[in-house]
Amino acid sequence: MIAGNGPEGPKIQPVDAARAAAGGRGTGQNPVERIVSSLKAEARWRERIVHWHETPEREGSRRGFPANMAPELVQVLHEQGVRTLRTHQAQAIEAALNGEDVLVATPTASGKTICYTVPVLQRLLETDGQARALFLYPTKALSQDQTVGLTAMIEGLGRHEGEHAFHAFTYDGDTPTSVRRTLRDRGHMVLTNPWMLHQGILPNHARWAELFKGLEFIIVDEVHSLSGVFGSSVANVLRRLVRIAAHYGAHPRFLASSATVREPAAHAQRLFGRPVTVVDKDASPAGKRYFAVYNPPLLNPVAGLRASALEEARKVASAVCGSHHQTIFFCGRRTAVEVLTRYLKEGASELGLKPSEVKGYRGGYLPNMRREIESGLKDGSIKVVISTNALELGIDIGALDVAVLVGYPGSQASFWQRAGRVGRRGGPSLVLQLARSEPTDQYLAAHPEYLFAAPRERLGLDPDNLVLLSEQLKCAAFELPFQRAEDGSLSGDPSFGQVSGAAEVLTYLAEYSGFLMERERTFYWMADAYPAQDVSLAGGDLDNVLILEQGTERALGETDRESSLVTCHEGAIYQVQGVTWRIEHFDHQNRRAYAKQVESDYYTDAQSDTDVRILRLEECLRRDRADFAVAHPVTLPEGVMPAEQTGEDISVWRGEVHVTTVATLYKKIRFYTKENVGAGEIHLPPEEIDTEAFLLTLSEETAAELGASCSDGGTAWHALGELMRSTAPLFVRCQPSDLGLCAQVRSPHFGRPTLVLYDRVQGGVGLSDLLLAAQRELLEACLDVVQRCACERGCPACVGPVEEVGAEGKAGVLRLLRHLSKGPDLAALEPSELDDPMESPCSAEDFGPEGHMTRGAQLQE
Amino acid sequence: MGPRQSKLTARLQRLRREEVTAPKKSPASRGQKNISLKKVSGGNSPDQGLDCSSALGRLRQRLKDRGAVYSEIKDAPACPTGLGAPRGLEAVEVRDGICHARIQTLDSKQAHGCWTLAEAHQADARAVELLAQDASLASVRAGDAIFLDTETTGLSGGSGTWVYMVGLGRFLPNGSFEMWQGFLQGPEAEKPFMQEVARRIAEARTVVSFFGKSYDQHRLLDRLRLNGLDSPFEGRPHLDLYYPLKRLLGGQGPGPYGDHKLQTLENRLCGHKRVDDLPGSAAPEAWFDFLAQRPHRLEGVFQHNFLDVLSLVTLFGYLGRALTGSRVDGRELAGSDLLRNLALMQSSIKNRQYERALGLLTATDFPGQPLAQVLAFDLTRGECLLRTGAVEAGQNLLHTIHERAWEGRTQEDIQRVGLESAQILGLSAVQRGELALAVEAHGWAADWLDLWPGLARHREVQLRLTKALKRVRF
Ligand SMILES: [Zn+2]
Repeated sequence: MIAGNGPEGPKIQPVDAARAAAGGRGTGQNPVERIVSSLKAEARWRERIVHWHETPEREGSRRGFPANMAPELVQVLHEQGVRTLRTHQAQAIEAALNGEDVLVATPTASGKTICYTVPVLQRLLETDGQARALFLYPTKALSQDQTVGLTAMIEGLGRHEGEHAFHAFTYDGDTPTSVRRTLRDRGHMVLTNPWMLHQGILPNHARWAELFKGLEFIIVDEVHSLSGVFGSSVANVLRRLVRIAAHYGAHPRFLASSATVREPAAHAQRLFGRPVTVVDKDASPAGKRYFAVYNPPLLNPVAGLRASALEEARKVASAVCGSHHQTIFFCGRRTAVEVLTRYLKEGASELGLKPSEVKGYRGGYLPNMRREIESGLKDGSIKVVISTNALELGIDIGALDVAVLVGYPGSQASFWQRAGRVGRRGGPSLVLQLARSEPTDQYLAAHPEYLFAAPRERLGLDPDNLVLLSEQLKCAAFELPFQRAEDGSLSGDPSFGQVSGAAEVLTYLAEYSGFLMERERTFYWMADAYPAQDVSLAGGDLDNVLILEQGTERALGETDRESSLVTCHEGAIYQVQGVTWRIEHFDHQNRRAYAKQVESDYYTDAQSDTDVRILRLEECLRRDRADFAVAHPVTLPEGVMPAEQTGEDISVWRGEVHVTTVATLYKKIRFYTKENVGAGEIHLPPEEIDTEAFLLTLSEETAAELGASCSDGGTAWHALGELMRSTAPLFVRCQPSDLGLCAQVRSPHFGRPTLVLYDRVQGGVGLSDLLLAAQRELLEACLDVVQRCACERGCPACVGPVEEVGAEGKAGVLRLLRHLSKGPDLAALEPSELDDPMESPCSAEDFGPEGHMTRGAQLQE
Repeated sequence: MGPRQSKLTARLQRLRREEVTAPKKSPASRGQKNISLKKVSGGNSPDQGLDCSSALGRLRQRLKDRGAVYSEIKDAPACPTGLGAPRGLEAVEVRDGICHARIQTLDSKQAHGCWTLAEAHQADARAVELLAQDASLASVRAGDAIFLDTETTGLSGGSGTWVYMVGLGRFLPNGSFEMWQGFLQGPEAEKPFMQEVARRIAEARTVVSFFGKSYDQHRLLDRLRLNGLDSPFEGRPHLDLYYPLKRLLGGQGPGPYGDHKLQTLENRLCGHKRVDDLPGSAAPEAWFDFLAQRPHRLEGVFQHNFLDVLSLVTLFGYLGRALTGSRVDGRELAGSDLLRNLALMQSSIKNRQYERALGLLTATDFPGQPLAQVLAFDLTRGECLLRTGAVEAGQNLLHTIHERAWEGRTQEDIQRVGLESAQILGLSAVQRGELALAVEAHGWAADWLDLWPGLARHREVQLRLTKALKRVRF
């Protein structure tokens, strides 16, 4: 380890003496090593830890500063303890100074900040303050943190005052109006977030002319978080940004950072609309790392019930907490943080700690309280912290020793961000992953190698989703008129010129929606409205339902169309931060629901049914029965001959679908006891969305042999769909709630069992593509989960509890998966072999509610 | 359109859930839309006042739900519609093209309500400066001011909000009044339009507007910046009539002209009543209709803008007579004497000119006025008396206020005055070491606080008073 050379470069403070001692000198064995030995030695832990993984200490590689770097900048870095660069930092800085767009995709704590602060400051020095940079951070806290870091660098350069001073400002909702003007005219480095850029800066770009004229760099932090609707919207906001910059004669470069992701170059290309140089070889030194997977004991093997992960976290605390090192617990929910913090504070003395050395940390705490905890972690006075993902992002808390992850955080990037909180100083560190009774957690308990191999998740991003694109084009047209070229295209536009269909969307917005007016080949915004205010980055749908307080019309919340069926029907109990409201009236046409505050001891649970109509099939993979026979066909009834091994076996598809969801009934369920205390009817018209879907079908013969025909009412078929939905986040970056499910025993389109997993965003943001690509991996993982599960007939950790899937449910799902995930891969079909139902639409009767409707995905949030 | 194009359009329509079947472009369909709009707005429910069938209507409704600023087309009066370019436009060649404007010269003896335009010349700059609380207006004169009012395509601002009409009125050396109404014929002609607007503003010494510091100026600055033009407002005094008039009419609390809108003020103060005025909120639609070559109501917008500018002139004249309280022919100013005196006094106090404040008073007795207002006036006067050393008179006045307020103590605005009078009296007594009076006043204030919890600042004063009493006593 090179003394004093902090991994985050300028962000790191001198190592505190107390922490250096805690790092292992004096007491003989290092505390982490001691914990590891006791976890390995003691029977109560040894039984629970199902896997150990160790990575050896790594030297890392270093390089000198690029020759063209300003000497005063090198000097400042020296003063901050940075004497050489890590190889990946040097590569990134050289590429940036060379005028390339750069993405640094390396793990947390590999020193990414320096990769963009150095090029920005270098250009500021070279241009004597003419250059400008815009920094985009996913959270306010991060941008404030970074402003402090940049200001320290500016002071080091002696450029903090006087005529030639450089200024770094945070611009967010908290920025006082009085300083905004100074910031606009004099901010060399403006640190903000995508929302402020979208709603505040771009629509008022004339006021930001100084920034745009000199704009050389756009820094985008944590780009792995930019996927789905949000990422696709941000990609369009960046298109708008580049377009406005070009209007002022600037052609900024992108400097981006990301956690390690699958195919970083492709992701960056979709996000920025141009190829970027990817630096992804982490050259940071690292200490020895221990990694352990802890699976709570089975309490009821028949039902597959395991002890709660939170309870186990409390037990394991006695082994992993102590006064000579620092431990961090990550929980999924705020309430879990509160509960565990209380437990550990109460039991602090047994851990050899004072209660004040144990702290909870989550969003919603006041800023100064958070700062206090952050500095307590940095100076070593806090020994145990229990946190939500609030500490996952790059807030500077220094390096800790042990991390306990209570449950899988839902994505590999999050997992590594959390794991990256420990072991920065070259000493050993330990990450303990506690599995919950959920399919993903149990899969990872069996396959920890998943986490250590190259990233498996695919990031979905579709900036050209027509709904998002059309909404963003409205914002763009508001900012600056669009000009058509001679040929009618937008080829002259620096951003949207490359987007196919953009000119047609503008024509549509002019002729059909009436927002724009086309005059002499130019589209002007001509409407009395401020579109950015109404275009959310989180969802492209104009038709979300607003939940308002009855009488005052105060907004309580907002929900998407499909969910509104089960959350906004009259009689529904709507909960906001522990307060219960009853929906009194749902003005369906105007998309508003009126609620009254009530003391309710029950909540409501509505059932919804979903039907899917296929509009167009775009891609298909297929396997024939001749290629892979069903291994153990279910017994056929007397007199029925086994089918011949010809024709189709299974196929998977990607296509456009029309989804109809209806809700008819809701139940009232008492809090805590969960007893059913009543029911009511729902009278709402169906909700419909047009989106993209991934479909899986079985031929009739295969279905019969697998027992997936109507015999069990489709429960196993549906359970398989649910399992795929909850396991999908292992291979596709999404939440299970981003996917809708419709399991049809007999699809009206195919006439066979069909599973439809659809993107719940109007128009889709690419999830169906990713599912098609990941289908084999996904089915294999599902099989693995069900096969390994200790339960007899189904449980929440695999196919669902036996009450839902029936006595034969688990066996049925297993039989399906053993066929679907085995045998030769499916082969792609020629596009000409696909039929196009749009050309010959089926009649409406084909989709009548009876017969085809199966139990649909419940859309409770 | 090729087959691919129509497919995309159809898909877009489906995805955006817009139930539009035909392009909206043709004048005929637009005309029908207007009719249906009128029908809808005839309903009683305010929620039905918007056309929700179109995407724009829906957007507006949602903006409204989220509390955004937006303009709403109310029941529009029977304003004639026209087709094609507005009449009487003159083209002026400027540096980067042609700017169009309607220019009219008016006799300044012409009446606007019960004031003439020329009366603006009799405005006293000291009154304007005092009430506007802006020293840069110390020598403001109607003769070298420009009276500014704009019409825009929306209230929200941002690069997509156009300023398409700018009314600029000024007195000419020959005594007549020139009304210049610049009109933007199309978005492509914006640069020359803005050049001419900026040039005309820069010729004047002072800009006079109504709410212009908060609105019109910013819209114009945005448009000027977008066209790479410099600000003519830089270093030029700007009198925004809204603030001094609001002060003059009892801006604090519900005054007699609660809404402080231009049309309310021109009516109540200068006696001008508009007939069939097209509301400013109809301005965006008028211009959009004109650009799309549909029948439009731009004539109504021209008229509305014209009247707005004339009202700036007469209201300027009114403001300038606030110190004398009467017009040049001796007639009394419309509006409450009491509130006017109060405003003058408070503005002077802001400048710490207590002697002057007392000297400005044209009356100290207002029979028949609401008690709360009279007491508020006396309270301010009492404070000035204390500040100017007329301690006995001041304390007596405050004592009287307290007693009169106590009689009418059920009203909250009276409770406030009562509490404040007792507290000021108490502080003054403590300062002068008059222990008995201080103790008494402290007790009154406590009684008031029992009735009305006061605001944070009142409770703070009370605490100060209590502490001071303790110090004096022990
Ligand atoms: Zn199970």
